[in-house]
Amino acid sequence: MLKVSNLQARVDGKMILNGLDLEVKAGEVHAIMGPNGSGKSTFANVLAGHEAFEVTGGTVEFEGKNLLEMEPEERAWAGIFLAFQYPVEIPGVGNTYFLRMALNAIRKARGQEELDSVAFMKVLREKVKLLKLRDDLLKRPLNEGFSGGEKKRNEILQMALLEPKLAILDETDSGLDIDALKIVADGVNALRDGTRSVIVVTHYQRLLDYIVPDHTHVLYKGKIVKSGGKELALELEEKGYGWIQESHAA
Amino acid sequence: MSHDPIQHYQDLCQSRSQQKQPAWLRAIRLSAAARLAELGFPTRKHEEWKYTPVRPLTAVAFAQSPLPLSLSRVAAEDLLSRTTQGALRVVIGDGQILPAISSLEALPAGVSIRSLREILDTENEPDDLLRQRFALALDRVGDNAFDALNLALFSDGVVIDIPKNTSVTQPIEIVYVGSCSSTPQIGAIRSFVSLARGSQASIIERFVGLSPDGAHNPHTTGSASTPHNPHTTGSASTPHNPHTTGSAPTPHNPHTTGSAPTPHNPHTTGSAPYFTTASTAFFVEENAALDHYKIQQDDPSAFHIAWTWLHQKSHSRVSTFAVSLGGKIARNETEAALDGQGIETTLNGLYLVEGDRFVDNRTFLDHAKPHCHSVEVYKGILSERGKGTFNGKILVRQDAQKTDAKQSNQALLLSDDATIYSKPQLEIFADDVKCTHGATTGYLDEKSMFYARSRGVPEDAARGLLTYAFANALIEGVRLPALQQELSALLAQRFQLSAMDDLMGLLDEQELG
Repeated sequence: MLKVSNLQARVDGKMILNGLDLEVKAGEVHAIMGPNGSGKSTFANVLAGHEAFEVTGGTVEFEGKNLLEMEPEERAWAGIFLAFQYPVEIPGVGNTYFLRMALNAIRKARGQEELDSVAFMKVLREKVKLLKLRDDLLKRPLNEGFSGGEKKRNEILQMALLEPKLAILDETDSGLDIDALKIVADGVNALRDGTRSVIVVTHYQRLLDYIVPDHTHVLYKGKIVKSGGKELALELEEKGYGWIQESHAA
Repeated sequence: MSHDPIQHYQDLCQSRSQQKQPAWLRAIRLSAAARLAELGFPTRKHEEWKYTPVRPLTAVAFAQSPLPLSLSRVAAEDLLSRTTQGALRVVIGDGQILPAISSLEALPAGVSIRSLREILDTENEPDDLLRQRFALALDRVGDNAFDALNLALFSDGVVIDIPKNTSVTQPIEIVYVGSCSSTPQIGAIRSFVSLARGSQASIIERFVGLSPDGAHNPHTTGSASTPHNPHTTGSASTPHNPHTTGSAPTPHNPHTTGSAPTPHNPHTTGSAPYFTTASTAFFVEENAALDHYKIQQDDPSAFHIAWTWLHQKSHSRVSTFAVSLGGKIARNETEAALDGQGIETTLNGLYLVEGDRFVDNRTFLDHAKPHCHSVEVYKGILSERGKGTFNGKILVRQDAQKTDAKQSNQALLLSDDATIYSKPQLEIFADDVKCTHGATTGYLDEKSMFYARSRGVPEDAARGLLTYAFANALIEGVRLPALQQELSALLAQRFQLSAMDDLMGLLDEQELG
C-alpha cells in the first residue's frame, strides 16, 4: 500500500528526515516510536503533504501512485488521513458543517453521491455513538475552545467518518487520560477490516496496549534504526530511548 | 462651467428652508448650511478624510425629490423580502417614510415610532426635548462637513421612544431605500431613538438599493460572480404609474403643495447613483439595553455616509454591529459617549470590500466616567481592488478610572491590489485603566488551510471556508436568530459554500447517542 524509500526532507533549511525507508502492506498496523526531535511528526506531515516540509530526496508510493506529487486534498481523496498532533481551531465554522463539507468533498472526488443533511446526520450519529462522544462537540465551532482530549477525539471522529485507507496518528495519545485513550483505540480498531492500514506515531508505548501493532519501528535522527514486532515497543518502554541513542552515538 | 458642490447644497438648503417647519429648525438648517459653506468639503489634507475619495461624491449634483418614492407592487414585495422577518418596520424611500409598506401595527403599549417630518409639520412647537436634540446636533457638527450637510437637508427621520422599563421583544427595523433613477437622488435622514430608564430594544438599520428595474442587486446579497447589469430598463416600463411618460415631470420643485403629490418613480430609464446620508442618535438612559445592527447593502454605485451616535447613561448596555456590504464609497461613523458609570459598550463591525469599492470606518469611544467597559472588534475582508480604512479612537478622560477598553481591527487581504489603512488611537488621561488595541492585516492562516485541505476540501473551497469563518465568528454574536441566519447564509453564498441550512436544527431534533 505505502512504500517509502530513502525519504529525505527538511524544514527551515534543517534536514529532519535522512533516508527513511518503510513499507506498509494493506491491513497492517505500524508503530513508529522515537525520542523527541527524531523526525516522527515531520514524517507524518510529509505523508499528508504539508508544504512547510520540503522533500529533498527519495520516493513515496501510495497504491502505486507517486504520493509526493499530490496536493494535500488529493491525498485525502486517495485515502490518506492524518490525525494532527495539534489540531487547529477554526472559530466561525461549526464542527458539523466542516465534517459534512469534508465528507462530501471526498465523496465527490471519488465519484460518489454527496450526502444531504438527513443522510449525513444518520452517518454522523452512528460514528458518534461508536466513539461514545457527547453531542455538544458537534454543535460547537471547529475545535474552538476544545480541551486537548476533545480535540483528539474530534480527530478520531473525522477519521471514523472519512474512513481512510491509511490513517496516520501523530501522537494522538499524548496527554490523553485512559478513557480518552480507549476511545481513540476503539476508533482505530473499528476501522481495521483487513485492508485498511494504520501508522501510529507515538512517544509512548501505552496506546499500543490497545492498538496492537504488527510492526514497530524506532526512528532516530531521521532514519529507521530498528524494526521489530509488538515486543519492541515494550522493550523501548522498559529501557527508554537511551540505549538506542547510545548504540548510535558510537 | 463645472458644478459647484457647495453652492449646489446651499441652493437645496434654501428650498428646504422654505418649506413649512418651526422657525428654530429653519435657523438650525441655515446655520448648518453656513457651516458647510465655511468648511467646504474635506480633502485628503484632512486627517479624518486622508484616504477617503470624496470627489466622486461631490462631483454629482444630487437632487432632493419632494415626492415620495413610488414602488411597483413587485418592487415593494421584492424589497420587503429583503427585510428582517418578524420585525416591526419603517421604510424610508429616498429620504421619506413610506407608510404603505411600513408595518407598525403591533407596537407594544407606550412605544412610539413616529415620522420626524410629521412631528415638525403638525406641531408648531414640538417638545423641548427634540429642540434640545437638534441644538446638540448642531453643536456636534464641529468640522464635519457631511454632518452639516445632513442637518441642513434632512427631509425626514424616525423618532422612536421606548418608555421606562419596557422591553420590546420584536426587533424594530428602519429600512433606508435608495433608488437608482434617471436623476441622482440624495436621501438625507435624521433619526432619534430614546430608550428610557430600564428599557430594552433591538434596532436594525438596513440600507438597500433599488436598481432601475426594481430588482435588487445581487452583489449585496451574495453570489459574487453575478454581474450587475444596470441597463435593463429598455423603456416601456412602469405600467402601474401612468404619470411618468409625457411632459417633463418636475420632481425638483419643492412647492408641491396641494393634494396628493405625484410620487416620483425610479422606474425610468437611466441609472444614476444615489446618496444616502443618515444620522441616527440613540439616547440610552440608565440601566437600559440596546442591541443595534446596521446592515448596509447599498447599490455598488451608491454613496453612503452615516452616523451612529450613542449617548449612554450609567449601567446601560449597548451593542452595535455595523455590517458593510455595499456602496461605491461608504463611510460608517460610530461615536459612543459613555456618560455614566458601569456602562458596557460593544462596537463591532464587518466590512466586505470588492471591485473598486471603498469602505471607511471611523469609531470614537469617549470614556468619561469610571468603571466602564468597552469592546471593539472590526473585521474586514478586502478583495480585488477594494480599499478600506479603520480609524478607531478611544479617549479615556481623567475621571474615567478603572476603564477597561479593548479594540482590534483585523483585515484579511484576498488580493495584492486590496488595501487597508488601519489607525488605532488611544488617548488616555486616567492612570488606573486597562486599554489594549491591536491591528492585524494578513492572509489566510497556512496551518488552517493545510488542515482543511488534508480533510479533502479543495484549495479554493478551503479559502472560501476560512474567509467565511473569519467573518462568521463575528456574526455568531448576532442575537436575533433570523438576522444571524440571513447574514451567515449571505456570507456562505458570497464565499461559495453550500448552505449552512438545517444541520443544527437536525442536531437538536434528533437525539444523539
